[in-house]
Amino acid sequence: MSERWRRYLRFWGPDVDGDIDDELSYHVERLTEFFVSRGLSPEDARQAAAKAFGDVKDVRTRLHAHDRRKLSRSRRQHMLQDLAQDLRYALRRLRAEPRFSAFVILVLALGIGANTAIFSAIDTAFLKPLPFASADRLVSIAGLELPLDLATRPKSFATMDDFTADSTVFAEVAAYASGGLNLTAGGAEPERVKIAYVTSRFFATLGKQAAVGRTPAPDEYAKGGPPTVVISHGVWQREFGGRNVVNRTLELNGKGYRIVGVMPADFGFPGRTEVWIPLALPFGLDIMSAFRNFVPSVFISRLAPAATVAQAAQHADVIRKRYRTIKPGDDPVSRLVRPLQATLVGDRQTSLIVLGASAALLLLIACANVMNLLLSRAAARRRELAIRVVLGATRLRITRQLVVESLLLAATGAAIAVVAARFAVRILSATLPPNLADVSPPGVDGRVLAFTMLVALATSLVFGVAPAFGASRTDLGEAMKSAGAGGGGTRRRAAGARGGGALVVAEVSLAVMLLVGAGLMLESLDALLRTDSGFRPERVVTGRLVFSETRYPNPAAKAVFFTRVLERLRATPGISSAAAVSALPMEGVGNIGLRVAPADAPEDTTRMGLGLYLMATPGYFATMGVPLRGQDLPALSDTAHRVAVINQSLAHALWPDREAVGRQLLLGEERRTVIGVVGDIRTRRLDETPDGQLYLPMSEQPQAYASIVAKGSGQPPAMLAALREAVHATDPMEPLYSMATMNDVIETTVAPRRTNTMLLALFGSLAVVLAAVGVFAVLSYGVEQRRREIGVRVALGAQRGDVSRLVVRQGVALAGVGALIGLIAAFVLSRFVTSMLYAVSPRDPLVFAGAAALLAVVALLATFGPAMRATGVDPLTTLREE
Amino acid sequence: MARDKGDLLQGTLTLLILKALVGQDLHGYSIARWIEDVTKQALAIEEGSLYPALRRLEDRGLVTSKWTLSDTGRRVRVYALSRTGRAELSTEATAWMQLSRAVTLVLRAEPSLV
Repeated sequence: MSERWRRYLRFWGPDVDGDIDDELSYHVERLTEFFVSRGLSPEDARQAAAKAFGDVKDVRTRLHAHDRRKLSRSRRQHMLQDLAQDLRYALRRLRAEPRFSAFVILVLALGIGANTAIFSAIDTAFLKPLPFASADRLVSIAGLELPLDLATRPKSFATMDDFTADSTVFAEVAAYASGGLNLTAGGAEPERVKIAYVTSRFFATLGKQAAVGRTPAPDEYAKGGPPTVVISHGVWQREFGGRNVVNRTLELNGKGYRIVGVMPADFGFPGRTEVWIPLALPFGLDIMSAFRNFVPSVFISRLAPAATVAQAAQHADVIRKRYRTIKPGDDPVSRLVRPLQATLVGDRQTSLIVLGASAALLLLIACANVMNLLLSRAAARRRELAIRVVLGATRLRITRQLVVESLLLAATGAAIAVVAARFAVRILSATLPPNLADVSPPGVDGRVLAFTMLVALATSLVFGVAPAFGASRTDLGEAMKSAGAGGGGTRRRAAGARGGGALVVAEVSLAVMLLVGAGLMLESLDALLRTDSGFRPERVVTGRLVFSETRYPNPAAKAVFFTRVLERLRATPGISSAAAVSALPMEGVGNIGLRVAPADAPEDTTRMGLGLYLMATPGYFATMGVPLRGQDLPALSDTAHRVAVINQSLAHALWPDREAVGRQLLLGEERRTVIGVVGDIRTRRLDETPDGQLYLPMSEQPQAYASIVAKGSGQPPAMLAALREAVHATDPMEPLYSMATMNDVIETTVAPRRTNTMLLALFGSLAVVLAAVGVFAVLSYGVEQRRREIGVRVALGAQRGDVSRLVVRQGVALAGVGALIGLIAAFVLSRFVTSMLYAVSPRDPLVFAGAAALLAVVALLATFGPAMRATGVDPLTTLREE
Repeated sequence: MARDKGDLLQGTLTLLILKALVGQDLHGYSIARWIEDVTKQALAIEEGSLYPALRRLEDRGLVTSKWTLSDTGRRVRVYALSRTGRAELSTEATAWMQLSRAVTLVLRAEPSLV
């Protein structure tokens, strides 16, 4: 290595290797000379020197390691010192302009906070694995059915055995069915708990162990095995105070179960299950008391290590085809096996993605806004930076300084955002499907924090680096010269205005996109709330109850109970009518369709209908405000007549052109007289069209499950109390649960959409405000830069109107171009939100026009300030400034 | 040449280097020569081991170093005693002499070997 080359290297920092070589070789050479001077031959001297010095290579290695360590340590120290200095300086600068800083931080906190909050929901829904071991191997299987003990119908569904037969695809298969039972512990009043019947491999499939005791043993899943349960941590604490519960007895609907274990506190799958009961297969009808009408079984599986979801789906398809031929309406192969997480997320996927995209757009607008502000401030700072350059600051150093300032702004914004997001997440939980939110509740955890930090970093790079580079390229002479004259050179001014203008156009177009999205959602919500549910929910309260089969074994006993409760209710002041029904509208239950045919043409397939089968007492239609033509259902004591009340849809399907009242219909083999026709009710959700409905008298077969409805003139709390009192007075051991006003019941079905809509509306409003600020900032900056030009114009006779028109025209042009681009983009993108809309076209002209109009008004308002300032320009002062 | 009279104790080498630098700034080679001359070649050190020892002393702030040009125009690294180094030397030297005196007393005790 030549000396010169080394010197070159040293220019870039200490040359560790060169220094060590220099030092050691100097020593060895001098030592050799020393021996030569003692009379040794050069060769001998070299050997002697080597011996006296010892292992050169070893010494060199040790020095090398030492020096390298030291060098990097000192570099780190220097960097930290510089950074600390930059930070101190940045802090000073931000404090020097508190209003500017506070505004920028607020804007960033809004943008970052929205993203943090939405990310926590998206993370839960799509990214974060479910809280189970190797959760990515867990899938759900469609098209399976649990075997029923007395099944006589043809077997057309595969069973779990078919899947476990080949363990190279499905390592474990299990099923569960969620329901509810009344829990009695130690003579207290019964309490409704969420239970799940689970099959033998359920806990193994999820890879979960009991925290205390054990999960059920194989023989406890066998037919006639000892009845056992596993309880949740919550039940353990609540009912048993956390004491030893293993082998104690738990009573569910009057039947005793031995507790064998307690699950960990974080486990409540499915949903928020509190008690897990082993299910023997094939199951008997005795488990039905936990469910309404049908067993809501879900099948899950842990895939074998090598199997993919697609392979599993193919395999499931093969199994399915063994049992029946596939018809067009059946599940496509791809839906047979799906990741469990995707199944739990269900149909909320689109809305979450749209929310995420909207939050990202909002952040972009915030970035553009901050960038705009920083750019306009960069002009004012040019002189300060020029002085620093003169004082010897390198371009790198100045760039770094500015980047540190941006980082500080973004970091402060992010810190506020995280605090705010902690609260926002609670609201956001409503956008998640409940069965997922329960399994893995969203929150501000390490992952979310990491995301926020990344976003803050990316944000500060986006809004900070461009101004930083621009500023660091400061032309000394020009900056110093023009600093006194209140602005940069003409060329730079033009470039700055163009940059600011482009940013405003971008902001406005993004804001219009968000506005259109929010507008479409608002229209949908409005349409939904205006949808006629078919009943009058006002002043109606409801509660649900479930009979324990042991205490109310026969229909007569239930009929007596209902009669007494309803009589008590009707006698209560403030309540005008009361009734019982097997399933309330909007509760998403009782969706069993029965095939109904007109008795006068039983073979006419065009006149067949599916009737949703419901049981009700007389007075139900009156209580719910459903119009009735003909007769009401017979009283509870009357069991003699085979009658039915049908809704308009079903009546129209059966007798398209004749009056249905008085005619007979066929329910399977059974002939029934239609005594009344009622209006259609939206049974599941407001945004689903009503199906055929078939009401049968409750007296025929009082259900184990029923809801009681009462209408009156009293206040809802008083009416609810009366409802509870009526049930309690009749039988204190029957708990009434899910008590609510009918309006609340409807609201529950609307809530996710409402939350979505409100969030989008919030984003849209923020976007508009930010865009307005952007317009304001750019115009103000423009006026400031053009003071001289305006001054000249005024001196040449321009009127105030001319001057303000100049400014307003510029603002309107920017907003107009932005709005146009935004409308076009929204037009292209709106089809992605189609599935989220209700009764609104994704290209609803009213929404598009409204968004553009709102923005135009706001942009116009934003031009007033700068326009006023422009008209205030005094030609004398400006010209003298030059 | 009496160059391999066994290992020097670690602390001893430190002491020797610090002593060598009292009143003069030296590069590694000169430190080795100084020690050899002063001890009349009675103590031999493996000269390469000077350098790691010097690095340790520098890390502890007992010596400082800088690059200068030698008489022959070579880049050489010259070591100097720092203020703390001087203090360290006097403490260490006192301790050493006390120990040495004590050991001498033991060895001179009757029956004396010396």
